[in-house]
Amino acid sequence: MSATSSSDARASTRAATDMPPVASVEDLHVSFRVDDGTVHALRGVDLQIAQGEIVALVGESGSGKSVLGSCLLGMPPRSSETTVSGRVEVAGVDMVDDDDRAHRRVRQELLGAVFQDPLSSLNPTMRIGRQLTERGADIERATTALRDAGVPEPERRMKQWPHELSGGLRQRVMIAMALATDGGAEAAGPDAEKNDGPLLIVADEPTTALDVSVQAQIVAMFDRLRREHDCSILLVTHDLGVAAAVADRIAVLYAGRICEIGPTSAVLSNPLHPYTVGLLRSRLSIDGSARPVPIGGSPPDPLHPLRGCGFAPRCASAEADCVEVLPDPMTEQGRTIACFHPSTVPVDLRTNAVASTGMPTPLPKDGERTPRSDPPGRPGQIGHLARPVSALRLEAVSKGFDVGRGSGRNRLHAVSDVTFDVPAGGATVLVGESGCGKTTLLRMATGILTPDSGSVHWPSGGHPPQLVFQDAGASLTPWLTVRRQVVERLTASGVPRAERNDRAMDLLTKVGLDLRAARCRPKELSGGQRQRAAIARALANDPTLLICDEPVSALDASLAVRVLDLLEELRETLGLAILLVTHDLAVARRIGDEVAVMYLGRIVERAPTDEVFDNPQHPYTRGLLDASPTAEPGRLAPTLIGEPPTPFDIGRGCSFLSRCSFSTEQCETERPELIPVTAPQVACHVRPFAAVEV
Amino acid sequence: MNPPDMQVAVEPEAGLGGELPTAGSLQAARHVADGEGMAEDAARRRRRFGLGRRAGGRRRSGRSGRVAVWLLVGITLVLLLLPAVLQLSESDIASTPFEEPLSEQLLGTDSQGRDVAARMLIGMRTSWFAALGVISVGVAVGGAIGLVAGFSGGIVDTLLMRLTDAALALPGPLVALAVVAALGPSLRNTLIAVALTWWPWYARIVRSQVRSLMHRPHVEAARVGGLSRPRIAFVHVVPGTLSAVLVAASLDVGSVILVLAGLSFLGLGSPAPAAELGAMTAQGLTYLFNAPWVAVAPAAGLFVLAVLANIAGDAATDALER
Amino acid sequence: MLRRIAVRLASLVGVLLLLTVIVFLIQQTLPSDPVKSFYGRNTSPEVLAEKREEIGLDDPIVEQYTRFMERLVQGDLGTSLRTRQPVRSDIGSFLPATIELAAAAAVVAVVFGGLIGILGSRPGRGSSAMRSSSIALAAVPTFLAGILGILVFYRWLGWLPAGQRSSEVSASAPTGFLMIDTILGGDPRGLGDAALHLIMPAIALGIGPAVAIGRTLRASLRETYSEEYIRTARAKGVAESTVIRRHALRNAVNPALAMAGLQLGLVLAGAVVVEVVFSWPGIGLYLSQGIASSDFPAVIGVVFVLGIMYVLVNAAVDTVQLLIDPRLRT
Repeated sequence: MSATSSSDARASTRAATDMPPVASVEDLHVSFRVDDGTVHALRGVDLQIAQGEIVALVGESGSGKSVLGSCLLGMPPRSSETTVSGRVEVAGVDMVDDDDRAHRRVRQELLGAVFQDPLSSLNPTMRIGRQLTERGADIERATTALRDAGVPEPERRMKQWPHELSGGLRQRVMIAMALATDGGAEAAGPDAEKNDGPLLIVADEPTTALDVSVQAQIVAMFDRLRREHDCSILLVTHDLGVAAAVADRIAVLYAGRICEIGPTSAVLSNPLHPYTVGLLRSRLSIDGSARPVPIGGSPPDPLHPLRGCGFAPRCASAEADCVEVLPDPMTEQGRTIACFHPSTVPVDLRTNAVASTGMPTPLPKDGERTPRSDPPGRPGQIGHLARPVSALRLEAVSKGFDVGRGSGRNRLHAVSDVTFDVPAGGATVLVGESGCGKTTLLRMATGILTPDSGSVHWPSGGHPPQLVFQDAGASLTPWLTVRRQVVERLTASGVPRAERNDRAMDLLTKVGLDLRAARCRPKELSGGQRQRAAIARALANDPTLLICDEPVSALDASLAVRVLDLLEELRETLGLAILLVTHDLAVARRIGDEVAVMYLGRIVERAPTDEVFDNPQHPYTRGLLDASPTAEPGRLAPTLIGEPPTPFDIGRGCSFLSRCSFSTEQCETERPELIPVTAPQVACHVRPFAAVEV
Repeated sequence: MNPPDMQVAVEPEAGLGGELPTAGSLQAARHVADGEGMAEDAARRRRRFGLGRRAGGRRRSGRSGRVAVWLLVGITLVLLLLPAVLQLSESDIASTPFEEPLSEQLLGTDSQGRDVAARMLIGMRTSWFAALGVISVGVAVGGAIGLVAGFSGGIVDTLLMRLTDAALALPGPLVALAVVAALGPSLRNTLIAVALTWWPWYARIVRSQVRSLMHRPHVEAARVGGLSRPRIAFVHVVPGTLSAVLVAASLDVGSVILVLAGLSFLGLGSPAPAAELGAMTAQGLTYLFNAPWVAVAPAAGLFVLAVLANIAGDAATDALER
Repeated sequence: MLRRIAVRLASLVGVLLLLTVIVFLIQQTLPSDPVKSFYGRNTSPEVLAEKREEIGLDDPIVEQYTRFMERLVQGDLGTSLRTRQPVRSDIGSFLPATIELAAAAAVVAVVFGGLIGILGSRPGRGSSAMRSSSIALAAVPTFLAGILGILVFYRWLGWLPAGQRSSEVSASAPTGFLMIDTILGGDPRGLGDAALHLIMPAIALGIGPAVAIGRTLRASLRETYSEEYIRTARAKGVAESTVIRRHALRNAVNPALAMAGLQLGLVLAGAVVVEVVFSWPGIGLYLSQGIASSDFPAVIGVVFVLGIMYVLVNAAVDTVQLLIDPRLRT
């Protein structure tokens, strides 16, 4: 808690000394034309960023948060007929007027930007060094910036091309670019070192595309950079956990307007705006006691903003005045809130319960069924042992690929010697970061990829397992209607013609889609609907096992929760077994009976869910847990260094060696086996966290 | 967001990602040129502004599609029916030679007193249907080869593609020229020659579409779902290749018209009294200063035809790329 | 990277071989009997048979092909039926004119294409006007451009000459390129005259390719503009013109380069038509005359030479592409 109190203190000190804010936004309205109409991205936003503070701008997709970031950079969305009104000032310069030259100068000297996708944010035909010095910084400053951003061997990197670096490294390069401003002539005197660098860094979803462990490192780095360079950071994100980890203040955005702003710990423990409450409650967390409650209804339509409060249709405490009039933000004691009926009772994050009884269950959306209001009992460990029949059994499965040509030819050991099973009706979650081989493992589990050695069985018989993809839209054939795709599967399964249509509609209803949606093609449906359609289609084959590859990572929190709820329901009603692969531990907590952690093609730990989270045995598991953001302020303390490697040359010893802080000599020479034979299992010689046996 | 998984690094076939167009693989260049990557544009803008909306607009694509269809159908009908209705003939002597335009005949007469306007219309008809014929053959042959190569993979694919690449590396019109010269000038030989040099485009396009579609998630889902291979091929892959082929074909109409005209200009089309626009222009060159209309009219007719074809092609591309 | 160049070279050789095979096969299908055409219709059948055997026309195909290749490698392309000269020397004397014309047209194409591409890619009203006009310009047949050019600029305005390479100089030495030779010879008037003669044919020939290159570049630039790294560059405060030059163009130029390669090759084909219209004494005109007189050795010879030039140009373009984009090198 010390981190937060010091940032709180810093925030109030700033206010007290009355230093001018580094950036201030006043009554900003941004709208632009698209073919279907006019998008009202921002509808009157006020925000201030003080020197040296980190402000998190939190909102879901479509809230306008990226547009706000762009405006601070002086780069509002370029399209025909963009209208911008209001004032956006950075260091005293208005960034949304017509003076392009002034904006450029500010960007060159005072601003830094970090964007989401490091793959496409760097010019592929320019060397790193060149891109860093482009602003006017010299080579020395550029190299220092690289070092600051945690890039190893900075001199060598300067000469490399972007595509030669990994994703995490590229993002660090972006950060270095943000730091390497044209400090030039102004810096002088003893404070020169400290005042070098940008005044404000705008980071737009900087960690979304990264692995969890890398994300944690980068987020922690933001805090360090802020302290070392005394710069402010605007962190635009959809993830409250990331905001909680490092921000001094949180600003929540919905439908182009500010809902609430306040110090991080205050907003998280005592949210005032019903939307913030909803966000907190719908969050999947690695702390498993709370069942997430999705926000009902659907996201706002930026083409047709409402007359009153944008959140009113989904708000449980909305009343007549909310629908008629736009609530203006009011500031009191350091907290800003734009709501006529703010929530006054603190949320207990551990149970997602709200103390007052006045909060009814959220409203369902058209075409979807009401989510169940009480958590289902978890078919616990005991049940798992009592059901000997497995839906899926993998025995010593290995698979490798030959990559590259000629002298660069290498063998990629995607999966090495994996053994586990998924009990009939059970739910196993496979957790791992990029390069761990989970996708290859899944493809072998479905039978479309044959292992090099070992075997795959589906002992419970019945139809082979079906696959639900991460990108549901891409997994549906674009030119066929949903109904046709389901019927096609039924036909292939041998269902007689007369029954096909009824069975199809039955399946679609089961997943919560109606007749209208059935007649649509995939691109006419929303993300959540597409995922449901994909699930319905998978069920058409009447499988005993449903394999899901990151089914919710591309969805907003509420949608994700609903899909997970659906999967859980299907498990209950159909007795379906589930094998789910994810990098997000919170998802694992929500839906798995058992968790298996994969690293570099092997399983390093496997145990019932609660045990894995409460008492992880493998250093990697513990590292992942430490790196996963929670909604508790300032908690993030990543212990995993470096990045997930790709499994090319696997030595004799433990594959986790390069990132482990507990390794011994034995770890270098002897590969740890996964023991004991049944769960809970762990593959580690050292077992630094083993509880003392009583 | 999706952390890059190993699987991406492993796919040796996913060529389109890193493949930049070489002079031989014009498909990509032309796709960019004439399709303008609108879909990609819109997708990127969407992501940046966090919208769920297409910046490209449903309405515009509907209108483009209709424009394209109307043009294509319209031109075909007009050129088909008009000469028949007006009972135009290409060799009728209408009046005295070298009559000026607008005196008796609409566009004057040529060196033998034939009606220039009538011959021009007939020539346009020939050009139009010849071009459509060549493209149809090209699409059929090239498409078939592309499908076979794409679905077979392995040796068959490599062989066919080497052949296609080699054919693409040669200058089409020049080879066609040589072929026609060898076979003897006639319309039929010209069509055969040009079709022979045009199919490689389509083979390449179809094949690369097939390869890229085969790796898409929806095909993998179909395989996991237990659908039969022919079914996957025809229902889940082939329809996806259509739009790329149609884009290329519709844009090619104008080019083929011009290539055929060029060949006929050099004397490689139908022999003498036939009304072919290129040949007519060549014959009219001799009298360029005395009776310019004899040469200009057929060339202008070609121009009009090619412009209409290009507009239709552009509109079709807009509609299909959305 | 070296490996890639080696692969390209290998395929280049393969393509050239294919070209020879095609040319050879075409020769085999010629309807007329070359012996008869050469020696005349009235020669007796016995003499014809003798000559045929002499030349080796009845030998198996593979042998004929081998001999064909042998001759080819030595540069022997046969004898023109029309001029009675070796095709090789005919082509040799006419080739410089065509190269000069093609080079000028290439300059026109690249310069105008580049302008069209860059100017047309900026957002704004002008770009749709440019788009419509480029659709129109792309549809202009080369000979129409030539004819209209002559009618307007010669007949009507009298600004430019109507044909031929020059009104004054006939033969040209030492390079055969008038533009160079007049400079070398210190003949400013001749230079001016040659230039005037070159303008119209070059533009007529270059417009089509200019438009194609321009459209490709424009589309490619537009796509590049929406790339994330452009946003990054702007966010760093880099000036817009620098953004275009250093970031956008470098990445966008590749498809346009590919198109340029293709178009430059087609310029060689289009030169045939232009030379006829302008009576430009190049191999295109030679080819056209050959077609008219059924002079097959000449026709085949010209096609072959043009084909080789086309393939070489494209191979060069491929190599330049490799140099520009580092991603292709690995």
